[in-house]
Amino acid sequence: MRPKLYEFKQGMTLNRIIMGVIGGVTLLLSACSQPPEIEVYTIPAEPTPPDNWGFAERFGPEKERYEITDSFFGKANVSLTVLQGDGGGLLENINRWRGQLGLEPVEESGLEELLQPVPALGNDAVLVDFTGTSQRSQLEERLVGVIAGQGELTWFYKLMGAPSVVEKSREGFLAYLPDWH
Amino acid sequence: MKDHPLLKLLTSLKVTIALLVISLIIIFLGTMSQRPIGLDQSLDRFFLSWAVDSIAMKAALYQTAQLFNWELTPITPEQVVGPHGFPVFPGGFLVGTLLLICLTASFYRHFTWSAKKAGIYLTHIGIISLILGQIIIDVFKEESFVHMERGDRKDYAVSFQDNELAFLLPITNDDGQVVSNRVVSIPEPLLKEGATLTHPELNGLSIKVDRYWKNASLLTARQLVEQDRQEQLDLEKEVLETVYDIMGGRIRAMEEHLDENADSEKREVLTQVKAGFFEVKGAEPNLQRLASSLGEVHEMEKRVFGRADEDSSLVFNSESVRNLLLKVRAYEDQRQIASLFDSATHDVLTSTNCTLNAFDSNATDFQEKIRLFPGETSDKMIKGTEQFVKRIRSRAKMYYVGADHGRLGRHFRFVKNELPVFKNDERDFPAALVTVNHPEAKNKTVGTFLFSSSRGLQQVVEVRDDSEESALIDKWKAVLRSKHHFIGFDLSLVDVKWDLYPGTEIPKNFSSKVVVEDGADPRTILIKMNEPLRNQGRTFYQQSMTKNQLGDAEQTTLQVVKNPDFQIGGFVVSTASIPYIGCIIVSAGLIYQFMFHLLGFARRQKKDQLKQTENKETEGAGNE
Repeated sequence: MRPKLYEFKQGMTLNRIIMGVIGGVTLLLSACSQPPEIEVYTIPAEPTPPDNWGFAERFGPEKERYEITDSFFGKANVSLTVLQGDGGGLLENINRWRGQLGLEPVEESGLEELLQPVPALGNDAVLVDFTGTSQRSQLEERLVGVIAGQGELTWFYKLMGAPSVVEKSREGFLAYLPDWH
Repeated sequence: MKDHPLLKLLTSLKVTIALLVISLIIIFLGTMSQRPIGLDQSLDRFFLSWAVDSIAMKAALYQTAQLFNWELTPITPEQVVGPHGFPVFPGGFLVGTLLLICLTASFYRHFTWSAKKAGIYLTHIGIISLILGQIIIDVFKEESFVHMERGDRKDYAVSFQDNELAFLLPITNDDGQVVSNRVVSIPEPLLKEGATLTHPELNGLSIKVDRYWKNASLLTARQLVEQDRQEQLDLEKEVLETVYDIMGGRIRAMEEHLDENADSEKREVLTQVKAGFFEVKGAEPNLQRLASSLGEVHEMEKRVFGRADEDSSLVFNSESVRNLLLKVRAYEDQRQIASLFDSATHDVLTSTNCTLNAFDSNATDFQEKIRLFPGETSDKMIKGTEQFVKRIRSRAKMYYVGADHGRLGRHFRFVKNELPVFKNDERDFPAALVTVNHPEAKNKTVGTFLFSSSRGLQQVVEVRDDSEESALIDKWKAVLRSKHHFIGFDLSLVDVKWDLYPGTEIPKNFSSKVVVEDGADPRTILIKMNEPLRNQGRTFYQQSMTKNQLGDAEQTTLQVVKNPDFQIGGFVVSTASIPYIGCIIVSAGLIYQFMFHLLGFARRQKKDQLKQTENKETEGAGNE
């Protein structure tokens, strides 16, 4: 039997609804199947350590460690450690560093004269600079350490090694600290 | 129109229930398939697809059969990562779309403006929003993660699965200081072999993809040899397993014999032989010790069964056992030759820029040295060396890439294709060998570089002109890495806590204390398992943690989910809110419908009571 015109129209309307839903969903799903395109964006400059710092295997709680090798003068290591709170205290950490160089511990009263400010890292940051005999290598070594409290964490930066290498690297080390996260 | 047979079919309750039942089956099978094929594959092949393919279905059925201890053939990793099978069952998208059509049709068919049915309509609208919202979220959501340790500060999250080849060009200010980096990110799907990629922001660079590996491991020349040695060991272990099975069977047979014919002296010796066998089985493969243990089993068989030395049923007299031992010896010889090759040619193998020719001639020299070695070199050794050299040269030829620029390519000269992974806790490490060209460079070529996401190493791509001075045009940094999603603010990790229920190892709570710096004053936020951080359209959920050797929580992983936003009449609506809106609409519809009927019922009851009171009063008045 031939369909009546109104039945035909009804069928068309229904088809449109169904096709509309299927088409809509397919369109939506096909949106994700488009091949991705090359994206271009700008990001802040990433801090990069001085060129002569080579990556080294980190020890214990250290976050990063680098090695500076000088074919003539020897080598030095640079490390960053972040600890919770005051990281055990300023005096204790400085005496720990002094111990690594075979130096006598200092008293609280004598601490002040060892400390130098590091304005680039804020008012709470201090720098110490010692030379002694490394308890590990039994060679003369120099240590430049910076302790900077930032909120609930304390950051310990250490440059330690052959005195000549430390001397040559000190400026680059201090310049890199503000960017070193 | 509203009586159209198709419309009737679509609005029938039976069809909707059938679709809901199919949904339940998909959910069940999809969940079962997660173990054999991994979460991502399961999601893609059961829920985010129009049809479930036969391989995914087989994996789900295999896992289901395990519940009932039925034996089904498991699918292999090659099948999982290979081409999908043919469609065998409706997928999540198909069922979702059909449900959507049914709901829309039902709405269309039954809709008439009526306060009585407003709740039902609202409920339908809510369910349609839920289904549509879920589809939109599935299609457009972006998932990534941030992995940090205490003190880290990050302004990006990385994708779980997607990778990118990023070219970074430092942008300097007038003083020559680098102030920012322009990043040109080439998504992994564009890294097809033979493709040449250009972009106006690449300053004339064109990147031709010579080779691309979806998952690969990089090897030095020395590692190539070590891998060969390891493969010989694996092959040897396979043969040994068969030998151990035979020996174990022989020992069991003797035990059974002694069970029936008790002999305490023989039993004691057999126990010693068995102990020796287990010792050999548990130790590193060693032919000499294996032969000695086999000899003991052989002797024991003679004693237990009273057989003569030449009896062919004894283990050492078995032809198949002898053949297996010959195989073990051949593999062991090959391992020894590989070790000898490594130590004899250590300098060549560890030199950088080891070319295929250098490797080949080194292998040939080694073969020659073995042949001409002063004293007696057995034919077996000469033949074994020939076999080794042939194999290692063919392997080197197969894996050699020989990038001429970049730190990675100079160190790792070989790339081995690996089977793509599919488990949730694994990820592919793609690698690409690309030739970078520039119209002003010498011969228009900057060089061929090897990249691998397994190393995540930034390599310098220096573009120099063709002049005598080779003046620097651009100094790019390039890296193949997990796709970075920049989050628009800085996130620093201050502390992580991994709390356990007292006296147990059961985790009670994971939490990460972070500092958010997004232009306003830095603020400290504690992210817990069910308390995510929401900022700038992204939600950061506590996902996992790792401990250091001392058992202290050290690193945290936050899952980052971003759902797209859209605008309606000036209001920004996050797609993440669609399910919530849908739920509110459904709830409102149900409450309305329930209250409407409840109030109607209460009204009718009150009316009936009034009527009854009136009737009683009328009857009372009549009686009076």
